[in-house]
Amino acid sequence: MSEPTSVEREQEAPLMREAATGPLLPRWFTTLFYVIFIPFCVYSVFYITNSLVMQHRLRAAIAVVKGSLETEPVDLRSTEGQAVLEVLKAQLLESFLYASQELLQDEEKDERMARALALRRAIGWGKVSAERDVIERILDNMEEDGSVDAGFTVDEQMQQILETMVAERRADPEMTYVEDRITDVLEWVAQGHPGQPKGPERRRLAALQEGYAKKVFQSAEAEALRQLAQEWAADPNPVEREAAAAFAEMLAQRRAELSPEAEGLCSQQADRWEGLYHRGMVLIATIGRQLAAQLAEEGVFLDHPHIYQYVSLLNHRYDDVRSEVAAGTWLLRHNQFTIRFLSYFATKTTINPFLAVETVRLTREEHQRLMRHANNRRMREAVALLGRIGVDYISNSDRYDLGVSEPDQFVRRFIISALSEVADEEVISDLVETALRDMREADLARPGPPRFFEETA
Amino acid sequence: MPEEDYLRLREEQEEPTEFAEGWGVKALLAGLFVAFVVMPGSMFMWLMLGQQLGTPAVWVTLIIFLEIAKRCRTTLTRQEMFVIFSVTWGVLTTAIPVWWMDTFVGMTYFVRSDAAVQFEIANQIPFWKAPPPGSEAYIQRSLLHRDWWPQLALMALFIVWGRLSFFSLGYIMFRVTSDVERLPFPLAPIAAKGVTALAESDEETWRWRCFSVGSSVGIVFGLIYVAVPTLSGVFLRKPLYLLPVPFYDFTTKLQDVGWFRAVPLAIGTDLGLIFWGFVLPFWMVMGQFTAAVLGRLVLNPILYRVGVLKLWSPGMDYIQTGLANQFDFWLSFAVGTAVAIALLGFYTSFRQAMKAQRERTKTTVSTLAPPKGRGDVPITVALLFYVAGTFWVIMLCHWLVPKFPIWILLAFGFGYTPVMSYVSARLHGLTGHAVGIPYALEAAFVLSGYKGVDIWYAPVPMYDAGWGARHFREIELTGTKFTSVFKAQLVMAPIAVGAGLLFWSFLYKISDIPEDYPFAMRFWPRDAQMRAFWMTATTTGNAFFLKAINWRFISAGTIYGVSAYTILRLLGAPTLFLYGTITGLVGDPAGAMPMFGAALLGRFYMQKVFGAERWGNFTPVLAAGYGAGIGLVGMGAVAIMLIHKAITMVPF
Repeated sequence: MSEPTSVEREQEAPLMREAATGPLLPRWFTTLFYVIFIPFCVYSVFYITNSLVMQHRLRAAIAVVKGSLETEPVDLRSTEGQAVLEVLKAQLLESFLYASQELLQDEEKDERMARALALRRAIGWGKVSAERDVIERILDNMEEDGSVDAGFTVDEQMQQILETMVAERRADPEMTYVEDRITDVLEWVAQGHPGQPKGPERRRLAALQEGYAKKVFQSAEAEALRQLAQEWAADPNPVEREAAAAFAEMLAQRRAELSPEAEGLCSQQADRWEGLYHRGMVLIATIGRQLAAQLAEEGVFLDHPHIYQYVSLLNHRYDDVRSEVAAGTWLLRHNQFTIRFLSYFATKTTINPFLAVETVRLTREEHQRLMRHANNRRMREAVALLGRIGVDYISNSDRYDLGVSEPDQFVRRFIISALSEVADEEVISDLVETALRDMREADLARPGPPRFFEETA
Repeated sequence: MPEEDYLRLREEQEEPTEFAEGWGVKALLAGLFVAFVVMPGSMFMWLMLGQQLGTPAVWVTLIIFLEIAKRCRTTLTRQEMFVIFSVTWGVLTTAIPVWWMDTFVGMTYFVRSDAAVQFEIANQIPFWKAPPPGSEAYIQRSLLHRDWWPQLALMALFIVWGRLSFFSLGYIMFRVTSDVERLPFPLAPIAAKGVTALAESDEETWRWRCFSVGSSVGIVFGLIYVAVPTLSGVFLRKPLYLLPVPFYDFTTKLQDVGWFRAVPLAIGTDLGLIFWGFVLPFWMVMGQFTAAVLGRLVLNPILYRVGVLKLWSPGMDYIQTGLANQFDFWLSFAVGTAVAIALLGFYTSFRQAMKAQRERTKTTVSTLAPPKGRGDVPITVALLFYVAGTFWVIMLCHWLVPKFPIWILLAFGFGYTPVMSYVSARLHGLTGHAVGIPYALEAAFVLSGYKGVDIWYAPVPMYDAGWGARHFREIELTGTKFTSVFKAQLVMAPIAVGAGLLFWSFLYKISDIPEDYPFAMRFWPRDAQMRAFWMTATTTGNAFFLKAINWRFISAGTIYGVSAYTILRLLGAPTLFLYGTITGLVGDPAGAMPMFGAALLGRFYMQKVFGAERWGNFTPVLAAGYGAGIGLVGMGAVAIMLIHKAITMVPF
């Protein structure tokens, strides 16, 4: 063995040191330290273990209510349902938060919903892929200035597809200016591109094609369709096997069409899975409402972000989930933040351009449309609730402890003035009118002079 | 640098022969001086120019106490000076965190910022982080309002926890990497060198001359850069800037030229960058320059032309251009390069660790025995501190964010943190720098499916205690007993919190921060935008986040990092160049040019004049002197400004 290098000698250094001189802290202090901290650590272990178990139980309970691909959502009146409710009600605040969180999750994260979405996309795949091919052909023959090659002709099938597209787009009242110009071009091509070109629309058609490129199967949907293809390929039913073969083509992004029988089967299955998912969501919303009632009754502190999240669920796409959330929000009406956030949502008449961006699945326009619909739903629910809360406050203001210095002023600002501000909004004008009228009547019905609508009274 | 060279550095370091107590009345007075005299100035400088008085304040305090000691016919020992250094730094960082949003006034701005409103998170910030919307605390502009109390209580708890983690896990890491593995910690002597320069001030040594030269330059430059704008603000309606602060922006001036589209063009005007260019390794500065200037200059216009940079539009200045490009490309690329750095860091550390282990089993047996009189505590006490502290934080975090999975907190507290701290301590020990797993926390939040903004503010027990090992090595090199630092931290932390709260309240009452402060007005909105953007990852409106996080660009960043490292290794070129390019690509490019000039000057002129080794010794002391000079000027100017503001405050 060679002589150790300086580095190796350096690494040996610890051995050459003197031994430790012992703990510097006095023994009594060290002992005290152990006496305090060891029991604390033991307590922490118990506390954290208990919290872990509790979280697991709550998650499991929510999962049982929600159901899954293998299990149906539980009936809350059944023994199992009652047991689940007991578990959830034992941890009021946490259960309420878990219920809200579950309702806030993206629907495609649920396997049933992913399957439903995949099947619905598969049903429309024939049409979408045909339209995509047509646009592709047009783009291949179109110049930058929008003119089309002289030799380019539209066959009967292509013409039919284009005419259907044009009719559908013309019937859609939400089409933007740019989208209408694209429709003009499609119509012009369908008519055999007579006369002058419609302008430099190639870029816009290319954008339309990008939108079609987003309509392929992706992430959870693709996975769901892949699983379905595997399961149905092994099924004795020839319709399922045929559908499975078509799914394989679709996953490879090739043109494919389902037979009417297969389409029927897919539609039926999609309805079933979405129905199960829907039921689960409604049950969770119902539990959320029940928990909100108990939270309000017991006066448990709810931080304002939790109220915000719950109230924001008023934009949920299922009517019955929304009505459950609205009922739960009504129960939380004595909290100033419920009124603040309802007021915020009622007066939020436009969507947020920062959040309405192009996504992997949606074009910017499609995303904006979805957000606008959701926002409109929430505005309507918020206005209706604000109106009810306003009437209730005016009639029973002594029952409210909003935690603000001037509650009447607060109600004037966040309910009456806020609603008056958006009275001309087309989407909610009817509800605003009703709400303001009801509040005025309630104010007049009170003993003494009116407090909130003095000028108009 | 080969591993042997790194290890040889340890041999060259002067090990102390004995350890002495550094904590006492002098250190206490220094702490009070910093808390009540230096701190308001530091806060003001931070808001005005984006520079804390951190390091300069340390040196200014040391100079003042040295001079007072001389006139009292006494001396300051090296150990006392180091504890003053430690106290000063501790007090300032406690009251003025690195990240502005961690301050009270930062939160008052963020909650009401356009970014928080645009991304719809303003209403989702929990009560324990900032008062709820409509709170009287905002109307009264009072940080002492009871709506701030939860945040105040939590801040105090976090400070205690921060100290606990330093004294426990940081100490354990030091014992393992420094005592047992004998790693060199190449950057640790820099702080010690600065202290030595002042301790030997009675003799006319090269250190004192260097320090004086640096100070003189700092004072002259500080007069132009800090004093004139600050003092002119007292007399004139608009402050007079002889130099643009903190950079000269010519982004909008050149963007009509095709090849400058979407290029953030600016040059840093702070002379401190030159001193940093002297201190930092040459090849790292070269890498930074290549990436920051050439990379941005060439890549951005190309990315704009191919349609990757979509948000940029003509008229955007340096800050806006940088922000737009971040969202379109550089953020994802930065995530990718961070992943590459982590992969390479782990690879290097693992390789070195394996080699060292093989050698050790052949020739040595490790021991945890500490040297005599250093002030060590039993390792079991440190371990117990760490375990109890982590449990406590997990319970607190669970209480604040009850629906966040507790097993993730456990995994971070007892898995990620100790492992990463060890890796980081080893990297500090070998290279002076450390890497962590990038965006691990963000990934955990997103993948957990959690919905809510509160988790971003929760005290998740994920931290890197590896720097603690380096700090303990610094203490050791100055011959200071560890217990001195323990005592100093214990006494000074509450004073720092109290003084910080007092002066923040004072500044907040004077004006609605960031109003009236040029740097904060310019940079806070940008930072708020980035912060709000990250938070949208756990809100329902996360489309913008998902759009900005592009897997292709992340992969491109990772591939770039790994392949460039491989090529440089094959060519035998310095890998520091690669790390430089990565920091240059993802960082702020304004400082790259001055640092590049300084690095060239140092390498090709100064080293020839003074010799490579001497110049290497000079640069950290010069930089410390410069900081002290500019700090002195800044404190003076700011004191006048504060007095003026206080006496001219109108009651409406």
